[in-house]
This record gives sequence, C-alpha cells and structure tokens, in this order.
Amino acid sequence: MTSPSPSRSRRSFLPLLLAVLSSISHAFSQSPTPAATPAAAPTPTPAAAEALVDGLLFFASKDATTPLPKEDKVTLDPAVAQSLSLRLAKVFKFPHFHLIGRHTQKVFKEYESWVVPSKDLCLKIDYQGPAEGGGLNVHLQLWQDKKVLVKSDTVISPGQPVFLGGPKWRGGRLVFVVMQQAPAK
Amino acid sequence: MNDEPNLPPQDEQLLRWIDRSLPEDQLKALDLSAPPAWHEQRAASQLTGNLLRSSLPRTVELPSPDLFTSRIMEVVQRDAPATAPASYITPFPSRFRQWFAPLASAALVAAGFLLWNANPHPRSSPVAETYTPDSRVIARAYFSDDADATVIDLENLEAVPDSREIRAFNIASADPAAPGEPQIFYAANGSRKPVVVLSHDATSAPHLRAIP
Repeated sequence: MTSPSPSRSRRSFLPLLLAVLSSISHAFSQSPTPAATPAAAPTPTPAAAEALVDGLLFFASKDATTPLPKEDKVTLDPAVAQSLSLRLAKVFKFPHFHLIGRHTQKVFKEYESWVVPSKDLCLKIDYQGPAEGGGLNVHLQLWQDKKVLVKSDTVISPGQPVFLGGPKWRGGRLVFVVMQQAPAK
Repeated sequence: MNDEPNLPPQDEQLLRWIDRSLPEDQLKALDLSAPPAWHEQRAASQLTGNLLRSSLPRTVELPSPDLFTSRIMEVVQRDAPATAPASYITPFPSRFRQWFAPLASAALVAAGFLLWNANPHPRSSPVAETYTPDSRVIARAYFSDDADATVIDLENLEAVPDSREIRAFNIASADPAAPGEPQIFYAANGSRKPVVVLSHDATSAPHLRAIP
C-alpha cells in the first residue's frame, strides 16, 4: 500500500480550507454587517454623524513644571479635566497629566473619522454600529507618523473613555484619551 | 481510482459546487456525479457553517480582518502540537487520512470562532480586542474599574526623542473630505483658521501637514 504524497495531501487540504473559509463568509453574510468603505464612498454632503468624540493628548509627567510645547492653548472644562487626571493617575503611575492637544470630532456612520490632537499621534475611528447598552462599537487605529501602533475593536461610551498609553517622551509618557461626549438633550 | 480533485480547475469547481455558485444544471450534474470525497468535503463545510451560524448571535459584528486573523493564528499556534519527525507519525488508514485533515482544519477554524465569541463583553466592563503590527509591541487591554475606562497600554514602544517638539493642536470637527481630496481641520477657537491638513499616501498612511 502506498501512502499519499505530501503534495497530494496538500491538494486535498487546500480546497477544504478554502471551503471552510467560504462557509465562514456565508455565516457572516447572514448577519448584518457594518458598512464602512470610506475610500469608495461618494462625496458626503452632508455626512451623517453618529456621535461627537473628544480626542485628548496628555503628557504624563513626574514634574509639574515640565516645559510643554508652546502651541495653541488647549481648553477643557475644569471639572472634566480634573476628573480625567484623577482617573488617568489610577492607571498610569504619574502625578501630573498635562493636556497638550484636543480635537473634538464627529464620528460618521459611513466614513472614517480622524482625530488629530497632535501631528505626532492621531487616531482613526471606523464606526461599527451602536453598542449594546449605549455607546459606539468602533475600530480604532492609533498612528504615530507613518506607523500604526495598535488596532483595536472596542466600545466608546459617554463616561467610559478609552485610554491609550503611548510612547515615552522626556521622562514622561504620551497618553491618548478618546471619549464620547454625552448626547445633547 | 483517484476520487479527489487534483487540478486547480477542479479545486475551483469543487469550491463553487460547495458554495452552490455554479449554474443550476452543473450543480445538479455534480450532485449526481461528484466523487465521494467531494460529498464528504461539502458535508464538512456545511457542518462548519451550521455550527458557526448556530453559535453566533444574529447581530454579531464581523471582527476587523487583522484582529480576526491574529486571533485565529493564536488559536492555531497554541493548539498545534510540536512537529514530530516523519518517521514517528503513525499512519492512518488512507481512507481516514483523506478526510481527517480537512475535517480537523474545519473544526479548528470553528473552534477559533467559538473562542472569539465565547466571552461576550458585558456592558459594565467593555474591553478591547487589539492587534499590534509590530510584534515587539505588546498591547495590554483591560477595563479599569478604578478609572472606569478601557485601557490599551502599549509596551515596548520606541520612545519619542527628547529633542523632538510634540506638535499639538486644538481643533474643531471637520466633515469628511471628498474622495482623493485632503481633509482640512480648523482651529477650535472659532477663527476658522486652518490648522492642519490630512492627506494619505499610497499605503493609506496619514500625512499631516501643520499650517504655520
């Protein structure tokens, strides 16, 4: 009795693997899938916005007097700023969190949204539908220059931000915060 | 008798038969004439599809491709036994070997899917599925009850040189740009002063140009 050669085994394996992937594709095609193909989308006039998010860039530092870049003055409601600093300190072990960049951006239903509080760190958001219980299902990509640092599927909801711990800089650390603004009443 | 497909065109025909995307007359003809191995493979494929459909909620979102692939590869790498020398492999009967590998692969992929969906994240503690293109970078994702926030902590990132000035902005929301056009962001202070222009290179990487 002769054994099938490896190449023959591969021949029988390949179509089956493809068939399995085809089945997976069919399984998912029967579920509602989010439509998000920004590149192929027509010109938005106007684009439907799902929510408003704040992208905040913090410099976490051990030094309260660390010199910050002399850029446009960034403002945030003092109560929100204080609350965020306290919450950030529970995760990132620094005593001071300096807000250095802010971009408030609509999240669009059918288009990618870019949140750019800094030239050095920016965030791409793809909306993927409402989250169970409120908030947004999103696909995030954190970029540093031409390099994507992390991709993530997660949920952003009012009151529950996402903290992205970024690279070290000048003895501290850059932290990107993305949070959904509470819907207007 | 060789009762399995052994040429690429036949592979394609097999896939389209399994997928039921062939013309109706060809489908019916193959239903009658397909070799037993093809029927076994179609049954395995249908079993996998049914398993996935029955295990996934109707509203499940398709994971982003990179995240899905990385998760499946984690499962494959974790479950794959160490490669043994060929001489130590106990031969299966040829008939069994013919369908076992495909069926096992189908089961493995299905297991990956089930694992993916095994722990739906409760509303009170959302977490994040993460993927880092740079294998040296580790993303620790968790929900911090203390901070009431989802945390994605990136470790082993290259530090930004101390000599570099971080260029930060305070900008307002902008509408999407027309396809192929750059997106312009304006100052948040109401001055409508353009602050930064976003365009993309051929690889879709962002290119940000600050306006002095």
